[in-house]
Amino acid sequence: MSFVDQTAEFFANLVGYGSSPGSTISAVLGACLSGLTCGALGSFIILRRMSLFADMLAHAALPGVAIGFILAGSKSTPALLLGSLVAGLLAAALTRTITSYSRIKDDASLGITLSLFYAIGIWLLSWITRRGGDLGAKASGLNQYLFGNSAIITTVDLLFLASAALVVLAVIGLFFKEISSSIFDPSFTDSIGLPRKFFENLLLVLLTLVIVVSLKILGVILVAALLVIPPATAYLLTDKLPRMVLLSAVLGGLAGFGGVYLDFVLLLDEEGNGVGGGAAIVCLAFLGLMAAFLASPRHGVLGRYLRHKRLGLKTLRENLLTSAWRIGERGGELAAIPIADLASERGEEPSATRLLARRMNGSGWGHLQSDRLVLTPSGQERARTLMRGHRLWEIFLQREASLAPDHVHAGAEEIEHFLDAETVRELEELLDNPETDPHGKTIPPGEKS
Amino acid sequence: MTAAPIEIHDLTVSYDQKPVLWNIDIEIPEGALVGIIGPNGAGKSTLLKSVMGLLDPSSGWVKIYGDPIERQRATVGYIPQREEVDWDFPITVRDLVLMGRYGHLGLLRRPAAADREIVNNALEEVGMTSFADRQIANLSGGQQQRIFLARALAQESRVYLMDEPFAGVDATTEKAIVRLLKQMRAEKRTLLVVHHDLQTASEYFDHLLLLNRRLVAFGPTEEVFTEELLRKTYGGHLTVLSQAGEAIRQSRDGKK
Repeated sequence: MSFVDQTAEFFANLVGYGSSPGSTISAVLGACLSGLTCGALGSFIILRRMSLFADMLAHAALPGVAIGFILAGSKSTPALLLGSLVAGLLAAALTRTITSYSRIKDDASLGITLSLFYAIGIWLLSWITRRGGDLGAKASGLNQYLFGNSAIITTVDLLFLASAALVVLAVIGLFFKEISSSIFDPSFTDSIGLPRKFFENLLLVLLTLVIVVSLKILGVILVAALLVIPPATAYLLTDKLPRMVLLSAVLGGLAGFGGVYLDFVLLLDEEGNGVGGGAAIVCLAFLGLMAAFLASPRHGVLGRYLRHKRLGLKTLRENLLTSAWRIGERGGELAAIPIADLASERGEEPSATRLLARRMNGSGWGHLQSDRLVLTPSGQERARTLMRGHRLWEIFLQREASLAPDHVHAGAEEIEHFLDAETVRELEELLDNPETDPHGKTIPPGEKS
Repeated sequence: MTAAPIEIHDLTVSYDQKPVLWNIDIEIPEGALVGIIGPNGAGKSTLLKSVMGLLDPSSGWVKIYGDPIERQRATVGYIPQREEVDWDFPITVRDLVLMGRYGHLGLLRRPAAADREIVNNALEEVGMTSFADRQIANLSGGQQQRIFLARALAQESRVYLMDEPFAGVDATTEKAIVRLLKQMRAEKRTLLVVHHDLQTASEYFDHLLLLNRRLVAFGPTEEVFTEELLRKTYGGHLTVLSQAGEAIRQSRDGKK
C-alpha cells in the first residue's frame, strides 16, 4: 500500500472504520498517555538533574520484567509491572548505598547500577528462552520490553497507563508549590518546615511508576528519552515552570501520536508486526527539540544570531550618524552630508562609505540620495543624542576612572550605542551638566522639557 | 521572664564525626542586630543551619522563644547563601518572593490575595517591583540578594537568620540592605547575620558574635570589637589582623 493509502487507513482506524481499529486506537492512546505523563513529570526530573537517574531506573526494570514473568509463569501485566517496580526501587537503593558508603561519585555509581541490572535482565531473558518448555514458549514477545512496541498494547496496559497518568497529574497539581520549592531551594524549603524529603521520595516513586507503565511502549532503553527531551524542549521555550510542565506534556503526547503514526505508515507488515516501538517517538521528540534549539525566541540559536546581526546593523548606522554630526559641527549641512566629506571624516574610501550609507535605507534615520547622506529629523535627533552620550561618557571616564583624555574615546565609542535615557540623566547629574568634553568639543544640549 | 528569641545551649555540631562547632553557649537578646564574624571554616553557616534545625547537633540544643525550632518555624526566617540555588530555574522574581508565604500556607493551600499583597510590598521594600515578572536569571548579584531579602520579608518573621547577605553585592544594594536591617531592628525583630567584612562589621551591627569553631566572644559591638578578641578569633591570619587593626582605628576615630 502507498503512503497516502496507509495514512487514510490510519485515520480510518482511529475513527473506527478501518481494518484494525482496536489495535491502532490502543497504540495511539497508549503512546499519547505515556508521552504526556513522561513529559509532565520529566520537567521536574531535568530541573532536579535526575535525567541519568531516570535512565538508570529504566534499564534496571529489565530484570524485574524477567523475574515477574518467571514467578507468574505468564506475561501477566500486573506481575511484570510489579517486578519492574521492585527492581527499580532496589536499583535506586543500591545507587544511594554506593555513593553514601564509598568515595564513588554519583555518575559512576549510576553507571554501575545501570549496567549491572541491565546485564542481569539480559541474562535472565536468554535463560528463559534457552530453557524452552512451557515457560520458554510463553516468553515469545518478552524481548519487546527492550525496545518497546505500541502495537501490542492491551486494554489492561491502557488502564495502568491511565491510572499512572491520573496519579502523576494529581500529585503535580496538588503539590506544585511544595515540589517546585523543594527542587529550587532545598535549604529554604527545610527551613519553613515543608516535608522536603517526603516530596523528593514521592518524585522518585512517581518516576519509577511512570517508567514502569511506559516500558511496553518505549522499551527500557528509550523510555528515559521521553522523560528528558520534551521537558528540555519546553525549558528552551518558556521561563515559567507551570507553562513548562504543560508544554512538555503536550509535546510528549504529540511525539507519541506522531511516532505511532509513522510506524503504522512505514513499518507495519501484513500481520501487524515489526513496529519500531519507541524509536520513531524519540526521533520525533528530538526534531521538536532541534526546532526549539534553533528557533526559540529567547533561548534559541537563531534568535540570538538575529539579535546579534540587528545590533551590528544598528551600530553601523549609528556610527554613520555620529560621523555626520561631527561634519555638521564644523559647519556642514547635517540634513545632507556629501559622501566624499563623510568618507574623509571616517578615513575610508568613498566607495566603502557609499556602501555603508546604502544600509541606512529602512532605518527611518536617513538614506543615500544623489551621493549625499540625507538625514531625516529623527536621524538628526538620534545623532545628537548619541554624541551627547558619547561626550558625557568621556568626561565620566576621565573624572571617575582617572583616564587620560586621549584614552577615553574608544570606551565611549562602544558605550554610546547602549546608553539609555536614564543612564544619561544619571551622568548629567553626576557630572553637573558639563558643556564641553575632554577634547574641548561642545556637548550637544539635552532635550528641552 | 520571657524566653530569649534564640537560646543556644552547649551546642556541638560535627560533619563525618569531625566537630565543626564546639560547645556553643549563647543567648541572643530580643531586638538585637547581630553580626557573626570569623575566618573561613569557622562554622558561621553551620551555626545558622543548626539554629534552623537543618543539621542535627551531636549534642546540645537550640530553643526559639523557649520552644524547639520545629514548633517555631513561622517565627524564624532564613536566607541561604545565594550560590545554593539554580538561578536558571524557570520561575519569576514574584514567584520566588511568593515562596516566603509557603510556610504560612502549609500543604495544599494556595496563596490568597492577601499573600500577593504582602509579596508586592516586599518587592517594593527592596526596590525590585519593576523586575517582578522577569525570570530570575540575568539578575545581577545584588538584585538576586535583594529578592532573597524580599522573600524573607514576605515571611513576616520575628527572627531572621541571614547567610552572607552582603556577599558580592553592589554598593547600592549594600546600602539598601543596611537600611532594611536597621528598619527591621527598629521593629524589634531579632537578626543574626553572617558577615565577612571586618571594615563594616562594627558600623552595621550593634552586637557581634566572634566565632572560630568555639565561641570567642558575644556582646555589644563596642565591648567585643577589640584587637585582642579579634586576634583570638582570627589566630595567625596576619592580613586579616592588619585589616582588623585598621578597622578598629577607624571605628575609634569615628566615635571621637
